[in-house]
Amino acid sequence: MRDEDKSMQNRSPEGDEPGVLGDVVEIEVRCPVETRVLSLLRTLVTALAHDLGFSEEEVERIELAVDEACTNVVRHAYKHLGVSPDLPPDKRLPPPADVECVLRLRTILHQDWIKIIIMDNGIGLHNTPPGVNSIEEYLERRGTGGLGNYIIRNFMDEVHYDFPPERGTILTMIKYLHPAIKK
Amino acid sequence: MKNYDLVIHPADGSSAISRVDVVGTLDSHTVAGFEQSLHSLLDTGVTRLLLNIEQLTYISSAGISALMGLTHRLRQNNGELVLLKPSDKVHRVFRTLGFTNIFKIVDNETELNAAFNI
Repeated sequence: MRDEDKSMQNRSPEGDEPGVLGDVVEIEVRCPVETRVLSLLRTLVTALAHDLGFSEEEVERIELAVDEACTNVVRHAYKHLGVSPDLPPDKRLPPPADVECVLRLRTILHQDWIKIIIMDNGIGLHNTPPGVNSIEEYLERRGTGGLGNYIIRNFMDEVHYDFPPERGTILTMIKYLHPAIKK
Repeated sequence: MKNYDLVIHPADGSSAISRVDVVGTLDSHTVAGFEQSLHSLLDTGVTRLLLNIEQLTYISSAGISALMGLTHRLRQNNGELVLLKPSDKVHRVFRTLGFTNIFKIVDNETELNAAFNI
Protein backbone atom coordinates (compact mmCIF):
# COMPACT_ATOMS: atom_id res chain seq x y z
CA MET A 1 0.00 0.00 0.00
CA ARG A 2 1.39 3.37 -0.90
CA ASP A 3 2.26 5.66 1.98
CA GLU A 4 -0.25 8.26 0.85
CA ASP A 5 -2.98 5.64 0.79
CA LYS A 6 -2.12 4.48 4.31
CA SER A 7 -2.71 8.01 5.49
CA MET A 8 -6.25 7.84 4.13
CA GLN A 9 -7.19 4.88 6.32
CA ASN A 10 -7.82 7.19 9.21
CA ARG A 11 -9.47 10.49 8.57
CA SER A 12 -7.17 12.76 10.58
CA PRO A 13 -4.63 14.64 8.46
CA GLU A 14 -1.72 12.83 10.13
CA GLY A 15 -3.27 9.44 9.46
CA ASP A 16 -2.09 7.89 12.71
CA GLU A 17 -5.21 8.15 14.81
CA PRO A 18 -8.92 8.31 14.13
CA GLY A 19 -10.11 11.84 13.53
CA VAL A 20 -13.48 13.42 13.33
CA LEU A 21 -15.34 11.85 10.45
CA GLY A 22 -16.54 14.57 8.19
CA ASP A 23 -17.10 14.62 4.50
CA VAL A 24 -13.80 13.85 2.84
CA VAL A 25 -13.40 14.57 -0.82
CA GLU A 26 -10.40 13.35 -2.71
CA ILE A 27 -9.38 14.66 -6.09
CA GLU A 28 -6.31 13.54 -7.97
CA VAL A 29 -4.86 14.79 -11.20
CA ARG A 30 -2.01 13.34 -13.21
CA CYS A 31 -0.14 15.56 -15.61
CA PRO A 32 3.06 15.86 -17.64
CA VAL A 33 6.05 17.55 -16.07
CA GLU A 34 5.74 20.72 -18.08
CA THR A 35 5.56 24.28 -16.79
CA ARG A 36 2.38 24.91 -18.75
CA VAL A 37 0.43 22.77 -16.28
CA LEU A 38 1.29 24.99 -13.32
CA SER A 39 -1.47 27.54 -13.87
CA LEU A 40 -4.02 24.74 -14.22
CA LEU A 41 -2.94 23.15 -10.96
CA ARG A 42 -3.07 26.53 -9.23
CA THR A 43 -6.57 27.08 -10.53
CA LEU A 44 -7.63 23.71 -9.17
CA VAL A 45 -6.26 24.12 -5.66
CA THR A 46 -7.45 27.72 -5.29
CA ALA A 47 -10.97 26.70 -6.30
CA LEU A 48 -10.94 23.86 -3.76
CA ALA A 49 -9.47 26.01 -1.00
CA HIS A 50 -12.03 28.74 -1.63
CA ASP A 51 -14.79 26.19 -1.51
CA LEU A 52 -13.55 24.86 1.80
CA GLY A 53 -13.77 28.35 3.30
CA PHE A 54 -10.17 29.51 3.55
CA SER A 55 -9.65 33.27 3.60
CA GLU A 56 -8.32 35.01 0.50
CA GLU A 57 -4.88 35.33 2.04
CA GLU A 58 -4.79 31.67 3.06
CA VAL A 59 -5.88 30.62 -0.42
CA GLU A 60 -3.02 32.67 -1.87
CA ARG A 61 -0.56 30.96 0.45
CA ILE A 62 -1.82 27.53 -0.53
CA GLU A 63 -1.67 28.48 -4.19
CA LEU A 64 1.90 29.66 -3.92
CA ALA A 65 3.07 26.65 -1.90
CA VAL A 66 1.50 24.23 -4.37
CA ASP A 67 2.97 26.11 -7.31
CA GLU A 68 6.45 26.01 -5.79
CA ALA A 69 6.16 22.31 -4.98
CA CYS A 70 4.95 21.42 -8.46
CA THR A 71 7.64 23.59 -10.00
CA ASN A 72 10.25 21.63 -8.06
CA VAL A 73 8.95 18.41 -9.58
CA VAL A 74 8.84 19.82 -13.10
CA ARG A 75 12.34 21.26 -12.84
CA HIS A 76 14.22 18.68 -10.80
CA ALA A 77 12.51 15.31 -10.47
CA TYR A 78 13.43 13.96 -13.89
CA LYS A 79 16.36 16.17 -14.79
CA HIS A 80 18.76 13.24 -14.42
CA LEU A 81 16.81 11.59 -17.25
CA GLY A 82 17.07 14.64 -19.49
CA VAL A 83 13.52 15.77 -18.75
CA SER A 84 13.52 19.33 -17.42
CA PRO A 85 12.80 22.83 -18.71
CA ASP A 86 16.07 23.89 -17.05
CA LEU A 87 18.06 21.93 -19.62
CA PRO A 88 19.02 23.54 -22.92
CA PRO A 89 17.00 22.07 -25.81
CA ASP A 90 19.95 20.08 -27.11
CA LYS A 91 20.37 18.35 -23.73
CA ARG A 92 16.75 17.29 -23.34
CA LEU A 93 15.77 13.69 -23.93
CA PRO A 94 12.46 11.92 -24.45
CA PRO A 95 11.17 10.18 -21.30
CA PRO A 96 12.57 6.67 -20.94
CA ALA A 97 10.18 3.79 -21.47
CA ASP A 98 10.59 2.39 -17.94
CA VAL A 99 9.90 5.61 -16.02
CA GLU A 100 6.58 7.39 -16.09
CA CYS A 101 7.64 11.05 -16.00
CA VAL A 102 4.54 12.55 -14.49
CA LEU A 103 3.41 14.70 -11.62
CA ARG A 104 0.45 13.55 -9.53
CA LEU A 105 -1.37 15.99 -7.33
CA ARG A 106 -3.89 14.64 -4.87
CA THR A 107 -6.07 16.97 -2.85
CA ILE A 108 -7.94 15.69 0.17
CA LEU A 109 -10.59 18.00 1.54
CA HIS A 110 -11.86 17.73 5.08
CA GLN A 111 -14.15 20.15 6.85
CA ASP A 112 -11.21 21.31 8.96
CA TRP A 113 -8.20 20.99 6.66
CA ILE A 114 -6.90 20.54 3.18
CA LYS A 115 -4.16 18.03 2.45
CA ILE A 116 -2.23 18.29 -0.78
CA ILE A 117 0.02 15.43 -1.81
CA ILE A 118 2.42 15.87 -4.70
CA MET A 119 4.03 12.73 -6.05
CA ASP A 120 6.58 11.89 -8.70
CA ASN A 121 8.68 8.94 -9.87
CA GLY A 122 11.90 10.89 -10.17
CA ILE A 123 15.26 11.10 -8.53
CA GLY A 124 13.99 12.00 -5.07
CA LEU A 125 14.05 15.68 -4.28
CA HIS A 126 16.41 15.14 -1.33
CA ASN A 127 19.03 14.77 -4.05
CA THR A 128 18.38 18.26 -5.40
CA PRO A 129 19.80 21.59 -4.21
CA PRO A 130 18.42 22.54 -0.78
CA GLY A 131 16.32 25.61 -0.28
CA VAL A 132 17.14 28.59 1.90
CA ASN A 133 16.24 28.78 5.56
CA SER A 134 15.54 32.50 5.56
CA ILE A 135 15.02 35.45 3.28
CA GLU A 136 18.36 36.80 4.49
CA GLU A 137 20.06 33.66 3.23
CA TYR A 138 18.24 34.06 -0.08
CA LEU A 139 19.49 37.62 -0.40
CA GLU A 140 23.03 36.54 0.47
CA ARG A 141 22.78 34.15 -2.43
CA ARG A 142 21.86 37.16 -4.59
CA GLY A 143 18.41 35.71 -5.18
CA THR A 144 19.67 32.78 -7.21
CA GLY A 145 17.28 30.17 -5.89
CA GLY A 146 15.92 28.25 -2.94
CA LEU A 147 13.04 30.58 -2.20
CA GLY A 148 10.46 28.02 -3.30
CA ASN A 149 11.25 25.55 -0.52
CA TYR A 150 11.19 28.38 2.01
CA ILE A 151 7.71 29.31 0.81
CA ILE A 152 6.47 25.72 1.06
CA ARG A 153 7.68 25.36 4.65
CA ASN A 154 6.37 28.71 5.81
CA PHE A 155 3.07 28.98 3.95
CA MET A 156 1.66 25.58 4.89
CA ASP A 157 0.97 24.36 8.43
CA GLU A 158 2.57 20.95 8.01
CA VAL A 159 5.05 19.75 5.41
CA HIS A 160 6.42 16.24 5.15
CA TYR A 161 8.61 14.56 2.57
CA ASP A 162 8.74 10.83 1.96
CA PHE A 163 11.20 9.16 -0.36
CA PRO A 164 10.01 5.66 -1.31
CA PRO A 165 12.84 3.20 -1.79
CA GLU A 166 11.78 2.37 -5.33
CA ARG A 167 12.02 6.00 -6.49
CA GLY A 168 10.44 9.40 -6.35
CA THR A 169 9.14 11.85 -3.80
CA ILE A 170 5.89 12.17 -1.90
CA LEU A 171 5.36 15.66 -0.54
CA THR A 172 2.45 16.07 1.85
CA MET A 173 1.27 19.55 2.82
CA ILE A 174 -1.56 20.38 5.19
CA LYS A 175 -3.34 23.64 5.87
CA TYR A 176 -5.81 23.94 8.73
CA LEU A 177 -8.90 26.09 8.46
CA HIS A 178 -8.62 27.13 12.07
CA PRO A 179 -5.25 27.46 13.85
CA ALA A 180 -6.70 25.92 17.02
CA ILE A 181 -7.15 22.62 15.23
CA LYS A 182 -3.47 22.36 14.44
CA LYS A 183 -1.64 20.15 16.95
CA MET B 1 -2.65 29.56 -23.86
CA LYS B 2 -1.20 33.02 -23.29
CA ASN B 3 -0.43 33.47 -19.62
CA TYR B 4 1.27 36.79 -19.79
CA ASP B 5 2.17 39.73 -21.97
CA LEU B 6 4.64 42.58 -21.97
CA VAL B 7 4.02 46.02 -23.40
CA ILE B 8 7.27 47.93 -23.76
CA HIS B 9 6.86 51.67 -24.07
CA PRO B 10 9.66 53.73 -25.65
CA ALA B 11 11.52 55.88 -23.18
CA ASP B 12 10.79 59.57 -23.63
CA GLY B 13 11.56 62.81 -21.93
CA SER B 14 14.69 63.89 -20.23
CA SER B 15 14.17 61.47 -17.38
CA ALA B 16 14.50 58.55 -19.82
CA ILE B 17 12.42 56.14 -17.80
CA SER B 18 11.60 53.01 -19.74
CA ARG B 19 8.15 51.71 -18.91
CA VAL B 20 7.02 48.14 -19.34
CA ASP B 21 3.51 46.92 -18.56
CA VAL B 22 3.46 43.36 -17.25
CA VAL B 23 0.18 41.54 -17.73
CA GLY B 24 -0.79 38.15 -16.40
CA THR B 25 1.41 35.81 -14.40
CA LEU B 26 5.09 35.50 -13.65
CA ASP B 27 5.83 31.88 -12.85
CA SER B 28 8.21 29.22 -14.06
CA HIS B 29 6.32 28.98 -17.33
CA THR B 30 6.49 32.66 -18.25
CA VAL B 31 9.64 33.87 -16.52
CA ALA B 32 12.14 32.84 -19.20
CA GLY B 33 10.46 35.03 -21.80
CA PHE B 34 10.11 37.85 -19.30
CA GLU B 35 13.80 37.77 -18.42
CA GLN B 36 14.88 37.56 -22.05
CA SER B 37 12.79 40.58 -23.01
CA LEU B 38 13.77 42.73 -20.05
CA HIS B 39 17.47 41.97 -20.16
CA SER B 40 17.45 42.68 -23.89
CA LEU B 41 15.94 46.04 -23.04
CA LEU B 42 18.68 46.66 -20.49
CA ASP B 43 21.25 45.73 -23.12
CA THR B 44 20.17 48.87 -25.01
CA GLY B 45 21.44 51.00 -22.14
CA VAL B 46 18.30 51.48 -20.09
CA THR B 47 19.13 52.39 -16.49
CA ARG B 48 15.70 53.47 -15.24
CA LEU B 49 13.14 50.75 -15.60
CA LEU B 50 9.54 51.11 -14.52
CA LEU B 51 7.48 47.94 -14.38
CA ASN B 52 3.79 48.63 -14.28
CA ILE B 53 2.52 45.52 -12.49
CA GLU B 54 -1.04 46.67 -11.95
CA GLN B 55 -2.25 43.81 -14.16
CA LEU B 56 0.16 41.23 -12.79
CA THR B 57 -2.19 38.68 -11.26
CA TYR B 58 0.30 36.20 -9.83
CA ILE B 59 3.99 35.97 -9.03
CA SER B 60 5.98 32.99 -7.80
CA SER B 61 9.54 32.69 -6.54
CA ALA B 62 10.66 32.43 -10.17
CA GLY B 63 9.19 35.86 -10.85
CA ILE B 64 10.69 37.30 -7.70
CA SER B 65 14.11 35.94 -8.67
CA ALA B 66 13.73 37.58 -12.07
CA LEU B 67 12.93 40.91 -10.43
CA MET B 68 15.90 40.47 -8.12
CA GLY B 69 18.14 39.89 -11.13
CA LEU B 70 16.91 43.02 -12.84
CA THR B 71 17.26 45.06 -9.66
CA HIS B 72 20.79 43.85 -9.09
CA ARG B 73 21.86 44.54 -12.66
CA LEU B 74 20.35 48.01 -12.72
CA ARG B 75 21.77 49.05 -9.35
CA GLN B 76 25.21 47.85 -10.40
CA ASN B 77 25.00 50.48 -13.16
CA ASN B 78 23.67 53.21 -10.86
CA GLY B 79 20.19 52.63 -12.14
CA GLU B 80 16.95 51.49 -10.56
CA LEU B 81 13.95 49.25 -10.99
CA VAL B 82 10.64 50.60 -9.75
CA LEU B 83 7.48 48.55 -9.45
CA LEU B 84 4.28 50.46 -10.03
CA LYS B 85 0.91 49.65 -8.52
CA PRO B 86 1.16 46.02 -7.46
CA SER B 87 -2.18 44.39 -6.87
CA ASP B 88 -3.16 43.59 -3.29
CA LYS B 89 -2.33 39.94 -3.90
CA VAL B 90 1.13 40.58 -5.32
CA HIS B 91 1.83 43.19 -2.66
CA ARG B 92 0.93 40.65 0.02
CA VAL B 93 3.46 38.21 -1.39
CA PHE B 94 6.16 40.90 -1.36
CA ARG B 95 5.24 42.00 2.14
CA THR B 96 5.01 38.49 3.62
CA LEU B 97 8.41 37.53 2.25
CA GLY B 98 10.03 40.84 3.14
CA PHE B 99 10.56 42.12 -0.38
CA THR B 100 8.85 45.45 0.28
CA ASN B 101 12.18 46.34 1.90
CA ILE B 102 14.11 45.21 -1.17
CA PHE B 103 12.13 46.42 -4.16
CA LYS B 104 11.18 50.02 -4.82
CA ILE B 105 7.40 50.00 -4.97
CA VAL B 106 5.16 52.96 -5.68
CA ASP B 107 1.40 53.16 -5.83
CA ASN B 108 1.07 56.14 -8.12
CA GLU B 109 3.07 57.91 -10.78
CA THR B 110 3.57 61.07 -8.74
CA GLU B 111 6.11 59.11 -6.72
CA LEU B 112 8.25 58.11 -9.68
CA ASN B 113 10.76 60.93 -9.64
CA ALA B 114 11.53 60.35 -6.00
CA ALA B 115 11.77 56.61 -6.56
CA PHE B 116 14.27 57.12 -9.37
CA ASN B 117 16.12 59.85 -7.44
CA ILE B 118 15.45 62.40 -10.17
